[in-house]
Amino acid sequence: MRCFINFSLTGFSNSYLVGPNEGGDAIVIDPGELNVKFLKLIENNDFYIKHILVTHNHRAHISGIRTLLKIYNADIYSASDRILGFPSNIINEDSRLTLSGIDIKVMEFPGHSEDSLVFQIHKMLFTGDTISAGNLGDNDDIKTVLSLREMVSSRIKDMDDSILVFPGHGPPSTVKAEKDFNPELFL
Amino acid sequence: MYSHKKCSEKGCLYFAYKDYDKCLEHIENRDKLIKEATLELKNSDIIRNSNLSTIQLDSIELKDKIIVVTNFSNSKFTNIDFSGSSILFSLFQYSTFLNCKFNSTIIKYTVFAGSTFTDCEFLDSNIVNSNFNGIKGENLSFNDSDMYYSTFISSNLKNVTFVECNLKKTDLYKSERTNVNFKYSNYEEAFFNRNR
Repeated sequence: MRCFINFSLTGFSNSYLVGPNEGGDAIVIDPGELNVKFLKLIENNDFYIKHILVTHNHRAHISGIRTLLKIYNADIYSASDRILGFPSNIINEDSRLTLSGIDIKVMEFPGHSEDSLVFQIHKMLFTGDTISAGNLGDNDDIKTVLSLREMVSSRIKDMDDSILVFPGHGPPSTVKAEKDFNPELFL
Repeated sequence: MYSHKKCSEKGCLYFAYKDYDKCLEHIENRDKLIKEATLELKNSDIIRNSNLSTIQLDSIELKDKIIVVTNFSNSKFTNIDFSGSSILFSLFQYSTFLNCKFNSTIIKYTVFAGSTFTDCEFLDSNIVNSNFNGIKGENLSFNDSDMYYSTFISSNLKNVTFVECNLKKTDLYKSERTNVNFKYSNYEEAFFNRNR
């Protein structure tokens, strides 16, 4: 399996491309923008985008969907039934997904937004805005922020330290680094 | 991607080295493997998809290399010159850097969290979206560098200069800073607090 990252100027967000070593059907997580660089990354690795995973329905993470769907016949998976007017397969904590031959664990983390999801693929955690390096997702409601802190803290403490954290914004991290240095966690 | 296999030694939390079952701390022919790896690193222009965690490198030049998706976690670097290199999507977490140079480097999406840096230079570099959370840094210079979206959260910085840097979205929340110089940098665009 291969994983690539693409930085988007739309919302300064990260999009991820995950697919098999040999190319073929692949997954895009949070397509914030489909720029030429991202398209080359897809095409040069012989990928065809078959699935789009959305961590949450915010512009910085979905703006590339419209263009992606003009080029590829892809299914959308998110916590909502529609994204940008396109039909989406609703997924939640109970969903067991295998897309492009890749097993995906879905975790619900309402907090930054009600529909926030985190995806685990092998030893990689795609966290959207729920966890970023040294920070957690923001919300205007302090009670929601505290609830998210508790939820993330309780779930991350049992996770394997070696898992890589790939957030929707900013640099990557590891579960160990988050446990040790994220000042927002109650550990 | 490199392997995420853990060292099989009981209680060891490090990654296993390359295709071995154990990390370099627990492999018997450790010195021989380090010599081989040093030679390999010196002779390769591109270092990719390798797990070289727990390696100890001393006084070698790694200039103008391309280092991609490589795991150097829990390693020790002494007098290493990375100048002119591109370091992308790699892990250097919980490592020790002593008198190392990263001048005119491109460092993107790389994790240095929990590392200790002493007497190191990152001059005129492009250090974007990289994670320096929890580092301990003493006598460091990042002068003339683009630090866009890099994070130094919960870090401890002493005698560190960020002169003429781009600090847009650079996050220094909860960092302890002693004699840290931001002269001629846009520090007002960096984050030092969170409004919650």
